[in-house]
Amino acid sequence: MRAALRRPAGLSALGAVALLAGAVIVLAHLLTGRSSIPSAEVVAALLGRASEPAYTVVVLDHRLPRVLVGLAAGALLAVAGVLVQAVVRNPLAEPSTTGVGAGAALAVVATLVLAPDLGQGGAYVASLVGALATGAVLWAVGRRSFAVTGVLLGAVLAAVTSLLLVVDSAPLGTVLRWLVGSLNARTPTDWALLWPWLALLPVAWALASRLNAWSLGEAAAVGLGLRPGPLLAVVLLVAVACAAAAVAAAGAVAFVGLVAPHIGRLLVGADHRVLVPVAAALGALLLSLADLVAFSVSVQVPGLATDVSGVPVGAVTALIGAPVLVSLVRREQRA
Amino acid sequence: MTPPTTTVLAGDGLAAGHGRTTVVPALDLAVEAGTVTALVGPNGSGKSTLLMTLARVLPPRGGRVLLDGEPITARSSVEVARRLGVLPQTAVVPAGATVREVVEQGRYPQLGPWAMMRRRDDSVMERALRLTGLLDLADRRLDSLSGGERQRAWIAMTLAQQTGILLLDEPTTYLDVRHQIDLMRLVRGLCDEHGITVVMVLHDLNQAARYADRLVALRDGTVRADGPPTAVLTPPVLREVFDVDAVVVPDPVTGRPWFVAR
Amino acid sequence: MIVILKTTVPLGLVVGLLAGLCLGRPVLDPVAAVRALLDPADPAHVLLVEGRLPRAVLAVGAGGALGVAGLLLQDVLRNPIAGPELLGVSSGAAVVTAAVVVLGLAVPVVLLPYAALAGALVAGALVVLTMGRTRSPDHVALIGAAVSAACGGLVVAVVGLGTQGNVVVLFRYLLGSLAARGWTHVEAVAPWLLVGLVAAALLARRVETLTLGDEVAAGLGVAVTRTRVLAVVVAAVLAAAVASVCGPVAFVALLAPHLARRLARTVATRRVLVAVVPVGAALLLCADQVARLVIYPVEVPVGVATTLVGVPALVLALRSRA
Repeated sequence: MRAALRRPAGLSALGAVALLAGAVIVLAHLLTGRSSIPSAEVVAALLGRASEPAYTVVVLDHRLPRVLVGLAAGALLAVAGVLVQAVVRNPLAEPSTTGVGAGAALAVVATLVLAPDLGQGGAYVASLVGALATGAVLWAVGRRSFAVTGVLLGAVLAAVTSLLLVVDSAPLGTVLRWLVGSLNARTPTDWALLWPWLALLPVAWALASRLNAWSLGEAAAVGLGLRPGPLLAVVLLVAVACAAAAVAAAGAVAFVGLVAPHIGRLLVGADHRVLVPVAAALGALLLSLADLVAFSVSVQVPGLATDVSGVPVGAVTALIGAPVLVSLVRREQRA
Repeated sequence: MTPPTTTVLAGDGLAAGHGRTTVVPALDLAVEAGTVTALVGPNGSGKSTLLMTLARVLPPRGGRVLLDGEPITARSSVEVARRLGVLPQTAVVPAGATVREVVEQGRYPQLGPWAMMRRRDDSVMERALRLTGLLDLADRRLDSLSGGERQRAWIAMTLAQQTGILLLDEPTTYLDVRHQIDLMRLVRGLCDEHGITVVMVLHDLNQAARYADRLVALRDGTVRADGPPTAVLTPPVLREVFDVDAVVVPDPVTGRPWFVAR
Repeated sequence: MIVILKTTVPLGLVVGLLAGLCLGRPVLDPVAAVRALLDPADPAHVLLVEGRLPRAVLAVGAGGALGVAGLLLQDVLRNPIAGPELLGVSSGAAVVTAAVVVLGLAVPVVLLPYAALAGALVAGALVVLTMGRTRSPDHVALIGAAVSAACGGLVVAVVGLGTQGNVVVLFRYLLGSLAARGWTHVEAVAPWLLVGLVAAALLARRVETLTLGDEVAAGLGVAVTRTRVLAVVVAAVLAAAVASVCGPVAFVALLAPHLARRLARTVATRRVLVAVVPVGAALLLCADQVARLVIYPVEVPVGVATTLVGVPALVLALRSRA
């Protein structure tokens, strides 16, 4: 099956399925919500011709940004996962297992608590700084044993985050959602700030053939004419930037960067030229689908007045991703 | 007229395996008291699996193990450990443990599982350390020693168990020639002077022929040849068991069979 | 290093105990504190006997118990980073406690340990079962992280359904805190800790043989699987009992055995067991003083203090061990 999917015809079939699934998920997002809107009116609102202005607000300002941010953040997380996994040659590395996600989330929370005036734009800068700093510490201290170091680093960062909250516990609910990752109550501003970062995806794709060479081992890569230093610097920078943008938009969502590349490898194999776009598409679908689940659960609970509360998508990805991570570890153990 | 012998350890229709795979389908084997038996055979022939099953470390897949004529399961595991010591290949070196601490673990069956702290049985420990030449290294960390010294520490641990039967899985692995000879002489001495029964898995056929009273050659989990070295270390057996074309000549020192591949 | 440890542990216990009794509001000098403790007519008597003393006692007991839990797990799994915080035991207890706190279930404080224990055992069993025979610290960390993340997801999902007030209480709990703990809490955990410690002492000899490998232990007559399961259950009992009243205080259980091995100059489980109790107690007691006093009058949850101190110390301990 994998071989068949790697052929051009197989790939276009895969693309068609992905597009179809994406369309279904987007439609489901747009059609469901706390207020019921007839499907004809949803379409009309998208075209700018809704019969009631309230419909336009709900569809364009609440539902559409939420699903778009979910798709984009999912793709960025998945690509970050693919890149980091390629660099350390370990399929278990991703923002949550390396502590990079926690680092970015800490920086975002710090700006929210200490400098609320900076707004959402500041969150992106902070997220990037936090992710870069954590990545640098990880690289310096323990890249050989990234999981132990990452888990310990994550614990320290979580403790520092809680110190901030001890000083001021008012934003606690918001902060917890950042730490787990949530797509609740996204606005058009969120989307406007996030989409330029999608330019990182083609950059990652352009690195694909070099990643293929690197995956053969350092000596072989040098033999093929690569310079490892600059290559690793660029790849890690792109990976950290992808993760940082996703965290700034959606919080530290766990395991998308692990599950999407894993499914991608099962489908099309380990060739990064194919894997990068496939994983990006899978990540986008996965996160928005998980968000749909989170939202559907929240709607069932009476008494949740606002969109802000409710089950965060990070809780859903954690519950889905944990068994996948466990099975991956067990597989590596046997190898 | 052969002197009367007693069987101390036996497999009775014994089937053995790891996990889901059965390596030894059904095997009868009786080990006589006061002898050294060597299990030989190619990789994957089931030697180690058989040894671990005889030692009740692996549960049998069928048949039973008889210790002193009774099913081994009739005694508690600790009681078995006072009669039979085993050295598996999978021993783990705990980071930071000293030789003495490891050897001390051999006293576990004698102390009983509930003994929290007890005066060390110094004389037993010292004898085990002396026999293995480890007295000077007793307080060194095991992970700082060479592979050969570690192997001797494990042997010392099984000796500290003070059992009448010893099962050793490839005891000469990691040892240089000198220590291999020392160890084989130690085994021989334990048998000749103290009447200890030894069953061991060996890879070196000439070593097995020189120091064992009896060779058991296994292939694919069945016994292909069994008897004194002169009867087992023969060109036809070597061909059947190992796919090796060999000449067997008398060992110039002891006169035991000595094989050289053609 | 060893000399430093040998003097630091008793010193830490004494200083921690004195600080726990004397500092705060009002500040008492040691003599006045002891007098107040013994004299029921003293104005500070109630504060000391009902406030500061039980808190210090709880810190000592919980710290010692966590140390023992960590030692059992590390030796029985032959893994230097095994500890309740990385094996999901703490997060399992957290899920149950979160549900109780946020959903307002009517569970009395005495029964909370049972509920937390059930959660801890389920999560711990999950991790230990999936771990199989792996000794790679990375794999253990990842499996523990996976189960912890799943539990964390559940906790946050539960929190998402709660009110702000509940959430603040829960948050405090999730970090681990010794604030406002009284004799009720001490009485609630004391039987659990006692049972757990006695069981650990009885198991120690068998656990020690397991450090040589499963087959060696089996050859010595130890029931390998039963010992391993028992040791994990005892560790879970200790960790869950502590977690039920103090929350998941992180990194005491992981760090204390490493320090105790250095202190006792041995890795033999029985001897380390004796050392790990005072080491764990001193660690938690001192961490609690730091948490209480560092930005007085605001209290930092003690779990934050133990994490910030424990992780770098653990990294150092693991590095020097290799």
